[in-house]
Amino acid sequence: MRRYILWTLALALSAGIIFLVLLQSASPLLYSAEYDAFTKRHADPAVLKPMGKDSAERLLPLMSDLLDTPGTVIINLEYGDVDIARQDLEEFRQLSQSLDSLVINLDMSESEVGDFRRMNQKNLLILSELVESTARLEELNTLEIRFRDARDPASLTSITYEGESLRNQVSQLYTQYQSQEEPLVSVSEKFEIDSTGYEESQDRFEQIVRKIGDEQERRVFTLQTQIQPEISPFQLTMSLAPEQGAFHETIQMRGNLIGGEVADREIEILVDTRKAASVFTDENGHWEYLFRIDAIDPGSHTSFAVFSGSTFSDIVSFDVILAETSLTLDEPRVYEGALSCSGGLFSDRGPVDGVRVDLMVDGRRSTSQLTDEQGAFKVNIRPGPGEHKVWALFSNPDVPLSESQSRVYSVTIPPPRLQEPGFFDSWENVLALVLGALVLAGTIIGAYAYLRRSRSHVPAFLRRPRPAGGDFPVIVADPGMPIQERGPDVPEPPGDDVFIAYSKAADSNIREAVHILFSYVRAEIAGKLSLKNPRSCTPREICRKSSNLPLFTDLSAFVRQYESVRYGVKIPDEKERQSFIDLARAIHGSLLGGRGE
Amino acid sequence: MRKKALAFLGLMIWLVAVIGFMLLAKTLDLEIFFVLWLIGTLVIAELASDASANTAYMRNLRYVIACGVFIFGIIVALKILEILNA
Amino acid sequence: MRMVFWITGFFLLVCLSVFFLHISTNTEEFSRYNMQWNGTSQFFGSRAGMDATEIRQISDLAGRTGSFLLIIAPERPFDDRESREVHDFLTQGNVVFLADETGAGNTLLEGLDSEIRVFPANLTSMERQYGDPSSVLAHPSSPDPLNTGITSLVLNSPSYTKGGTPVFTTSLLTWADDNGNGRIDETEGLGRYTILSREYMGEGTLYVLSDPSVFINGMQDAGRENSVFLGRLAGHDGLDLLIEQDHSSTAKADLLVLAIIYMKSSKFMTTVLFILVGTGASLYAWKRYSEVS
Repeated sequence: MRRYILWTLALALSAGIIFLVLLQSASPLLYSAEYDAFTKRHADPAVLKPMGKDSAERLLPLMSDLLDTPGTVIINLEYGDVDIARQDLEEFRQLSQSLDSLVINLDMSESEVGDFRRMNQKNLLILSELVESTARLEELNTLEIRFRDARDPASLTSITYEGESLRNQVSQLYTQYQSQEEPLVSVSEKFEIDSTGYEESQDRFEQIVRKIGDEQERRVFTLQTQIQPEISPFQLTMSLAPEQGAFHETIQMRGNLIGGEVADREIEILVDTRKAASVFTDENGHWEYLFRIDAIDPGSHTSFAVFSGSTFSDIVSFDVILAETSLTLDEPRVYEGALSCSGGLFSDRGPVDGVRVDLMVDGRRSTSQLTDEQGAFKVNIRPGPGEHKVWALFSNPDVPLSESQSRVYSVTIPPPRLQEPGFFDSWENVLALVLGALVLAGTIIGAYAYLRRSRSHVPAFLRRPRPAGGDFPVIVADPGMPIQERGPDVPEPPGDDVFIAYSKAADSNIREAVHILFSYVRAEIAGKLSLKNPRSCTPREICRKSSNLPLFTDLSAFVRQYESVRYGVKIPDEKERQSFIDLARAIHGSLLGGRGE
Repeated sequence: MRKKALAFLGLMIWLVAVIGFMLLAKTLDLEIFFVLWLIGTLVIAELASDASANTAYMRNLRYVIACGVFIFGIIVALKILEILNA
Repeated sequence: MRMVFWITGFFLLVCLSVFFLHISTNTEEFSRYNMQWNGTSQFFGSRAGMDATEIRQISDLAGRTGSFLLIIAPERPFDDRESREVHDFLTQGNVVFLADETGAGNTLLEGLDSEIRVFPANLTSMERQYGDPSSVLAHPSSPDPLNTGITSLVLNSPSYTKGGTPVFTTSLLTWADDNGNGRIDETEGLGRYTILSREYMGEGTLYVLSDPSVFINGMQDAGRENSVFLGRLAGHDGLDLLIEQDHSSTAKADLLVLAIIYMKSSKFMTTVLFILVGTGASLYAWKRYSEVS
């Protein structure tokens, strides 16, 4: 009774444990050190990876270098070493790029470091233009000497005009550079970076501007006094109105060509020493041109007209106003999984048309759209299901419009209502299914083969190697000792070899020989009757168990003879030895016939 | 009986060692534990049996091993799925 | 047969000792009985911790001189009477070291008329020891016996202090991550924050550390010189170490744990227990054996 209680208890316990295991089988990782490594007050350092400190360490020294480099560029420009200044500028550019990538890597673009980066970028642009302008001015100086010696008033005039334009430009650059001084210095002070070099560079920049101004004055003086202008029959006038304009406004430039053949002559109009347009005079020598303010920097610009390369008008300047823009974005509407966004870009002078507005989704530019004549834009985007932050951004450094950003909207795109694609539609799923089925089939076959292997039909002793010599211990049943399953191996070759072995052994040791025969017979009978532990049965027991088989009589005879030889002192003669073989063969035949495999 | 006790004891010591190592590594994973249990059982079954007729518990053990191998196949299939989908 | 009993007995013994180990520890943060990474059992088990005197009531401080009082992570505010007693203790020439990041210690600081205050915040820095934003590095600022020879201290999501003389400060690239997203946003400003402040009051010194996480097991060898710093606290200038166990979170324990601890500490109880268990086991084994034979 107690046994059954134990059995049911064990079974119930196993069932319970298996049930608990099955509950957890969906997430087999019961616990790992990461599960409770983070609390509100601290984190477990054992699960954290140590960080290479290189990135953050480099930041402040890099910013310090970047604050000193403009100074060296400007010093070189002041001494007229344009080539060296260019090299320094290149180094400045490299350092700036390092800072850009570092700020992005450290994800600090919204901090004061990001502000520093933006201002530094602006400085880089300013200095690049300064270097180019200074280089060009150096060229102008050389050309001026040449043209002056060659007494070429036309070229001299063009050089002077270009010089005027460049001087204007450099002044503008200085104003921009100066406007950055205060914010940049305050950020540097916050980070305890030495900004004396930078502040000195401001003064030097001013010196450069002054020097350029003086040079230009000299050029104008030279032009006006030392060179006799060619007596040219022509004169060209120019005026413009209004004197300032904003983006996409037009400035009307007009003038007159006086003297000689004035009808239908080509007049070139240059803005900032670059050719803007060619117009033709009417029959009175009057020309007009509508200059549209487009991709031009804000500030003052110079403009003049030239006729046939030798007759110059006066220089007139106009101002381009930097207009403040404001970008509006309407509430995006969700429509069939897509987002319909519309809005408008306006400045204080009216709607801004023909510029590109970017639509940002989760911080990345998704698409961009041009604004129409009313400054409006409309675009559809497909950000994918889930929650997103959407806003519009306008940023174009080439036009005199300020940067602006619309307000941020949080939208939720519902998951598609369409039916999910069928399981078999994606080839990956099919492949996974096939592989999984293959593996399972493989394991089932493996398990089955493993099970079959253990249930062998061939008698065990037939597969065992025969030990050397005749050291077969006599198997005597001993009630005190446990049944030895790994007993001494009694090898037997299959089939007729048994009888050969028997005959061989019979001469030397008849007991062992008949034992070989008997073991063979016993194993066959055990296989036939599916006996457990055949070697634990005595010959008579074997006999008794096979009482139903047709070989019973043969077997009884065999057993009787066997006992007398094996356990007795009788030594069989030749006839009896042969009878052993005959009986064994008969039994074997009967067994084979009975099995019918 | 002695061999049965030894087989069981060996398996238990193996499992306790596995649990001990899991505790030291602060990671408790059912899959790893199951696979190691299967390996231990297979080793024990091989050592404790002969290819000839066996005791009852050895024969029953083989059915348990067959089930274990089947579940092992399921785990392998799931892991392959995981790798493919990653 | 006997072998089976021996083996079962062995397994049972192993299970029992594991069970005892389990119930003698808990998982409260900062608890001295917590052996996991967020407990302070290693600090209390160290030589300094063992030699230290426990202060279970603030009134025990009266009349002590030449001592170093360690208040780790207080979870209850201090009332006026207690603040006054600490003030007397402080001005008599002792050192008080308060480690607090939740602001509960501000009641004590107010009662001491100190100018130092703890501001609970989620400080994050670009200068980290580990890849997680919570690990912040602090560097020595004004010279002090606590920070001589130490180049940096590893912290674990600290708050910051204001007032007093800064002894340890963070780098300039540190900010208070208010929205907890681990990165710097437009509204979060960069700056240098003070972690450990010092103030001289009377003949004593008050130190305020805004990160008690330096005492937990996981941070004992978090890197570099943390262990040196902790050693300084314990053996500071030959002063006696007093550890406050009234307001501090390190004293947190539930009843069962306390009972087990008491039993373990009392040698008499342990021997009695051993004798009982031993007798019981032998009796049972003898009975079974005599049954069998």
